[in-house]
Amino acid sequence: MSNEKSDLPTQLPAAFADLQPFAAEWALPSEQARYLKLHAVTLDQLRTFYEAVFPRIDAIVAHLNQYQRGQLPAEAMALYNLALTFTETSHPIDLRWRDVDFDDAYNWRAFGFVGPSATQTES
Amino acid sequence: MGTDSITIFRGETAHLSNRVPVAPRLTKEFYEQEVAGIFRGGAWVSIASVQDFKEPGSYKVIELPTFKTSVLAVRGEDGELRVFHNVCRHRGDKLVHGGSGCKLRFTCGFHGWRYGANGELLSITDDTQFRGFKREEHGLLPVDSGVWQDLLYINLSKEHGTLEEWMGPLWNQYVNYGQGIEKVSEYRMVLRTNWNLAVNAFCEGYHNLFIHKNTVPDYQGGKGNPMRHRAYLEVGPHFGRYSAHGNQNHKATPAEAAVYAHGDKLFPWFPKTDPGALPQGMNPSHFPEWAFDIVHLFPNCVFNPQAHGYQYLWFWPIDADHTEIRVEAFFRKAPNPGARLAQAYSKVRLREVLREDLATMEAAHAAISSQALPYIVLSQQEMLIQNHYAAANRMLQAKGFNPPTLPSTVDPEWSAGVAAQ
Repeated sequence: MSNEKSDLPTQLPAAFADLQPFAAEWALPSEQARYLKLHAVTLDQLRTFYEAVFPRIDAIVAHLNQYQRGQLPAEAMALYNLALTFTETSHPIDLRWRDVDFDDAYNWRAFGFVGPSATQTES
Repeated sequence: MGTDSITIFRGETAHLSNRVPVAPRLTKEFYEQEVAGIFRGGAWVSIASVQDFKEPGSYKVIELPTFKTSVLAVRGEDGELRVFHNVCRHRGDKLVHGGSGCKLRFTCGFHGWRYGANGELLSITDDTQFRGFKREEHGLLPVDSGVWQDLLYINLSKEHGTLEEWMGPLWNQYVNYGQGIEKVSEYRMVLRTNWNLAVNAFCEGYHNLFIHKNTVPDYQGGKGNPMRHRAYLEVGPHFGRYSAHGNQNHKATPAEAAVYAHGDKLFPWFPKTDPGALPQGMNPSHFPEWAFDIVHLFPNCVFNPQAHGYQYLWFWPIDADHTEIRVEAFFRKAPNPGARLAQAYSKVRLREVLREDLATMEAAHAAISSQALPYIVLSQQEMLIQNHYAAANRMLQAKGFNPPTLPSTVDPEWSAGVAAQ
């Protein structure tokens, strides 16, 4: 597997200490890992994460954009991964789904991730 | 018909039929005819984006279930992108077992034969034991290939025309669309469905009002277009394409508005863009409220250009009942990490839309295979599907096969009117 959790940065920049309690669980490296997380939580758990990150998006983008692409230090990388998990799991809350998935969707377990969707998303 | 729609129709439509007997096309026997008459009957098929081959030595192994073969595509030291049968000339072992990377030498794991990125056999082991062997006659076996802009094509037919002839009017209409682009996502799955049904599901927009209500409820349509008719729809010998109507009153969801606040508005939000800034083939009618185009590259690829990137969907037949679907999405290179977040949001909305599309085709395959349905009925908005079967029939008939057909119920005067445009 490409998602070696042990190597993952989870320490956020000091300005984002309020989000630190979410980092170990939600600062995930790949689209695949974030998708699997989405399908492993309840809608209430997802909402708690969403409501913590949503008001901080402007500050997160401002922080990340201090850096050139590909040049994020470890703490900014952890913040980037956390923000990616937010953006990639926000749709069930935004679209007011009744669950983390919806009726009539193609079986989520059969959906396959390869290439850039299976590895650390480049910053 | 036609007066109650915003659609501009273009192309030769007289040979199309709005009734297609599909059940007989789902049999094993018919599938074998399709492989012989279409895939090995002259068709150029795209296999990858050239973004996968950025520098000398960039290579990728591409499995082609339809042809029961594997190919090795590799950019040589001379910059040339070549495609080879992925098989060692010694005893037929698979040369590269899979994946992609960058190297200029390929060594067979079986007995250590070594090839260059240009296919040349560089060395063999224990060569004194191969009496009368000529190294220069045993390079990798080339596959006919060509590049159209961002797409690598191959042709595995004994006799075929050029890629330029195959592409027809598309050849010069998409100049440089792949410049400054990067791949952001890639998906693969095998579905229990026939490849025709899988292609068809991505070649019409009639369904979006119904199927996509969970993921993108208001992305298309607008005032005066309640059924979200295509703005433009064109059919050609080996392609069909349409332009979708982007809803200018789209209501961004909270996260969507937040992540798009600092840069471009991406799918499913389609602000007006300057059609003159796009390659000629994109938004061909310069529709002011353009969302995206769907371009069916017959037989088995759908190309989906948008203002800020594009997707490819490949539908690789495995047999009459199974199709491997490969999806790759690309965006213009993001200027900063914040723009990457916006792209991540967009690609996931696209992914969830895809999961709605994928949910239809296994059930349709099972239902049509029951033989209960004498034919499918296609609207004018589903003309790319009509064109898909007409293009297939033309190739099959040229090889002496006799695909099932039914006459159209469309007034011939309507088709004559389109042809006169």
